[in-house]
Amino acid sequence: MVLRVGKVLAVGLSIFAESLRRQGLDVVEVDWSPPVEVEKDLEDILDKLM
Amino acid sequence: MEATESLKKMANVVEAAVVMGTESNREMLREMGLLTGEGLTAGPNDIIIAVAAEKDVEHLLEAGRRIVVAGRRPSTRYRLEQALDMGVDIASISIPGKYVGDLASALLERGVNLFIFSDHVPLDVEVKLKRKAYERGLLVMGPEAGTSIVDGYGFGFANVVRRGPVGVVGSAGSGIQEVTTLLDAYGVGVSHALGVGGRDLSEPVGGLMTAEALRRLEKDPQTKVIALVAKHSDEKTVAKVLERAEIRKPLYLSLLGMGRTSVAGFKNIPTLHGLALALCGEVGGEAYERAVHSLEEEVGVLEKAVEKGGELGGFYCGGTLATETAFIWKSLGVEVSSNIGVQWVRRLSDGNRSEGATVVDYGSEDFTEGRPHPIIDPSLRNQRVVSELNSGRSGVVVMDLITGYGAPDNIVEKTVEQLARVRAGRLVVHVVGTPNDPQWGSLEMLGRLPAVRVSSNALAAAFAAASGLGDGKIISMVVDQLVVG
Repeated sequence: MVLRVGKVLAVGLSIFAESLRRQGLDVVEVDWSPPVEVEKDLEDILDKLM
Repeated sequence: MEATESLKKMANVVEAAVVMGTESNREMLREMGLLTGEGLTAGPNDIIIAVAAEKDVEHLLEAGRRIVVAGRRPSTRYRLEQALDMGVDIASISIPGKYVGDLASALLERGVNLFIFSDHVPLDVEVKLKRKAYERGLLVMGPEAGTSIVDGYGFGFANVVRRGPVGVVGSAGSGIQEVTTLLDAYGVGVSHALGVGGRDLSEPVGGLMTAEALRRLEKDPQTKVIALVAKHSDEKTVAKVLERAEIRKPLYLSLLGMGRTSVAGFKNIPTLHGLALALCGEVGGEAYERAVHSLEEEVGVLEKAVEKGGELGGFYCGGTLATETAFIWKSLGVEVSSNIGVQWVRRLSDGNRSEGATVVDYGSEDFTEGRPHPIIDPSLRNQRVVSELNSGRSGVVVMDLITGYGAPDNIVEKTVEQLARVRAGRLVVHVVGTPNDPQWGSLEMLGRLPAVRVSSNALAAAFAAASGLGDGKIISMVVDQLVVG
């Protein structure tokens, strides 16, 4: 077997998850959003506090 | 893109766009007359909602805001840990590149193979991920993998092709699509097509996943013949991978941008159409005769359709196809300006402005930051085609139209609608698709355009050059030198 394609995890663009589903694949879509980017100043303050 | 479409359908809307405020998006809005107000000062992290309407603009802008907010709400989705507990075999990743590293690394540690569509992934992250995968016997397709077909299932942008004996490894997404669809047209099927990402055959990555993919196809009983398609690759890296791969099955090579040289004892085939023909010959049966016959017939028809047309322009959604066209034109002695990132063309100072014969890849990173890939939304490319031809900057324009999985169902309607404004010049269109693609039924709409449709990108580039230079013999010359033989 070149590569097993049973269950597929999809993260990102919904058009790709949808097209995998249309092909009859079992797709598990993961909720993802970019990590909160803490401003450098705030990071410095937190460093001092902790 | 869905937000734009929803907004356009509302009453009184003349034109609308919902986009990230990147430079290329703001340029697009400027051309559409939609860059006003706050949009002028928006940055790449802002979302611009722009509406031109007969009345009720404020109301429509508020509707746009609601659509954007609603679009960010997840539907039935799981947390990563929950998903991993469900026992997944492979992951399809298409998040912004700078966030790929941690996620991909965690997935590899759990034994999951990866298809990574994302671009802008730092090179050192790619190297680390691929080394990790190699040590664990896993496959990482990408980053920047446009296309893979695994066991008949398409990942990213893939066409619905018949199953068969040809196994493909490629660091060139639209190149894989071109070869597999041409094979399909000639009646030859594909076992697997493994896209390994545009940088896999660079010196720093060292072809780690090309080697792994070749090894898997060599062992695969369905695969009888192997094709390697690559662009912008390091010749020494390719040679090293091929020397170590110990491939016993017949292997055919197409390194786009290189002529008829040899690499590690394998002859390079300079065009994707040429590669498809060679694979048909290897597979045997009637496929080769059929392919050659249809080629000869088409050359005859195209030679009669040549008219003197003026400056050349090639505007592409598929980067490999852009590279192939630039190479064909350069082989004919045309000086080409382009953004495709190779030494053998003149580098365009601004991808939005043509300089002589020009080839632009709209899938390159400078156009995809903060906006969908042009195979998903070709509006920017389509607007360029219209403005180039109508202004006379280009007399002949060649372009691709890519159907299949990953492309929207209305891609043909949308493209035809946008290109209907072409009033001058010569438009040459190559459709990358198969009759089983979801959008195939809409292709008859192309008949509404003043366009010549050509069956392969190499032929489309040859026909465009023949028209631009006013010499029909150029088509046969390209076919003899770069396609057949």
